[in-house]
Amino acid sequence: MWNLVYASAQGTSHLQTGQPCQDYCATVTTDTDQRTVLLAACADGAGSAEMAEAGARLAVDTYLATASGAIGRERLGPGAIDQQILRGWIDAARQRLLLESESRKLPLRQFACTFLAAIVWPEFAAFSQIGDGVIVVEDQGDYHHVFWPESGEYANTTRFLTDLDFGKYVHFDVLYRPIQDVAIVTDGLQMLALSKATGKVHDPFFKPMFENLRRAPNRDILRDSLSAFLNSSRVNERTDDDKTILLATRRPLTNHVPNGDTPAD
Amino acid sequence: MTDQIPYGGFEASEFAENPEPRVPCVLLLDVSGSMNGQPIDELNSALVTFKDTMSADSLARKRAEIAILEFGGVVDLVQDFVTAETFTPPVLQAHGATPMGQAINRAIDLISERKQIYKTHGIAYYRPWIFLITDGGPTDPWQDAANRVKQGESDKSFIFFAVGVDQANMETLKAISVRDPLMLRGLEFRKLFLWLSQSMQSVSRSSLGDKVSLPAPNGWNEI
Repeated sequence: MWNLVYASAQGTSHLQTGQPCQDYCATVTTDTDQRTVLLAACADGAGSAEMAEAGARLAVDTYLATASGAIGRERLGPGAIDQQILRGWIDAARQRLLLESESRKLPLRQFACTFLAAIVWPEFAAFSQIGDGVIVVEDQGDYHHVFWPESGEYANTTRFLTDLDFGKYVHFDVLYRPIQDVAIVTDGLQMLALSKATGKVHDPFFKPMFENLRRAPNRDILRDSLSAFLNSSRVNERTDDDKTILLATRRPLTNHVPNGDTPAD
Repeated sequence: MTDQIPYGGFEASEFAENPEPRVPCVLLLDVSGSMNGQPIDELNSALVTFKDTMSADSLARKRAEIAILEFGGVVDLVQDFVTAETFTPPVLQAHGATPMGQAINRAIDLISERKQIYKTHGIAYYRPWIFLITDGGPTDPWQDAANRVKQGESDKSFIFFAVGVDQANMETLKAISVRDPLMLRGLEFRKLFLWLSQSMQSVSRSSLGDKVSLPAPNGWNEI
C-alpha cells in the first residue's frame, strides 16, 4: 500500500506579479493481479509562457492517463518497460499540448513546462524527466537523485517538453530493484533539496519528511502541514519560485504516536 | 506543549546550504576629463543610490555582483566583483582621454574570468551584463572591441548596454552596441541607476526557465 502526500505552493515572486502557481502534480495507482503500481508526475510551467498553468496540468494528466491505461491493459512487466515505451507516453503528453496549442491558435511554447514522472512497480521502477527539478529515491537508508537537474549555461534557462529538440534532452531510466520511497520536487525547492557542491541529494531534507509521512495519522492534516511548510517564511527566504513536493512511501506506518494524538484508523 | 506544531513535523527538514546564483554586472564608466565637475558628482552620488536600492532587496543583495571599470586616460579596475551587500561605492575622479575600446575589451575579459570562477565553485549564474556609460567617444581603436561585443551578444555570452551622456558620440555607440544605445536626459544618473537596480532585481528574482522582461527605461532617457 502506498502512503503519499503532495502539495504545491505559489512562489512569492508570482504573488507579486499576480501569476498563478504554474506547478502541477498528480498521482494514480493501478491494481492489476494484486500488483499495485504507483504513477506520479509533476510539471513546472515556464513563467514566460502564457498558458504555462494549463500546459503543466495537461501534460501531467495526459501522461498519467496514457501510462496507467497501458499498464492496466497490457500488464506490463519489467521486461516490457524500455525507452521506447517510456518515450511513447511522454510523446502522448507532448502531443496533447500540441493539440491544445492548435485548437487555441497559440504557439506551442506558450504551454512550456518541465516534466518529471516516476512509475513504481513492486519490483522495479521507471523514470522520465525533461528540464530541471529532481526525482529522488531511497536506497538502503540514503536518498539519491535519479537524474541531476539540467539547466542551460544560465540559472534562468532550462529545457521544456515543448522545445522543438526536446527528444535530445529527455532522460529515461529503469531501476530493477524494489523502491520503497520516492519523492519528486520541482526546481523551486532544488536549492534546498540538493547540494550543488557535492552533486548529491541533501539527506537531512528528505529523511525527516519521510519519517513524518510514515508516522502521520491523517492524510488531510499531513497535506495541510506540508502546504503550510511550503508557504513558511523559512522556505520563502530561500526561494521565491513556485514549489511542489511529492512524497510517497510503501513502508509500513510506524507506531510512533506523538503526545495527545490518537492513532488513526 | 506540542499540541499544534505549525508544520506538523515538516519543519524538521534541514536545507542544503548552496551558494546563491549570481547576476554579474560590469559597470564600464567613462571618467575622462570632460566628465569633470557636475557630471562626475552626479555619477558618484548615483552609485550610492545604486548600492542602497540593491542592498534593500533581499535577493538582489546576495545575487547581484558588481564590478566597476573606469576609463579616463587609463583603464582601471576600481572594484572587482562583489555582491551588492558588500559593495562600497567608490568616489570617481575625472581625468584624461577616453580609451573606450580598451575598456570594453577588459570588461569582456573580466566576464569570462568570472564565469570560470563560478564554474570552478559550482555557482549558478545568470547572463552577465556590461553597462557602458560615456559622455564622449573612443580616443583609441575600438573596432576590435565592437566585433567582440557583436560576437558575445550573438553567443549570448553577455548583454551589452550603452548609455550616452551629453556630448556622447552616439554614432560610434551605435556601431559598438547591438542593442540601441540610449541617451541620458540631462544628468539623470540617479534615475538611470534606479532603473538598473530594478532591472537587476527582476533578473535576481527570475526563476529557472523564465525570460525576464526588464522595466522600460523611464524618466532618464531622451526620446
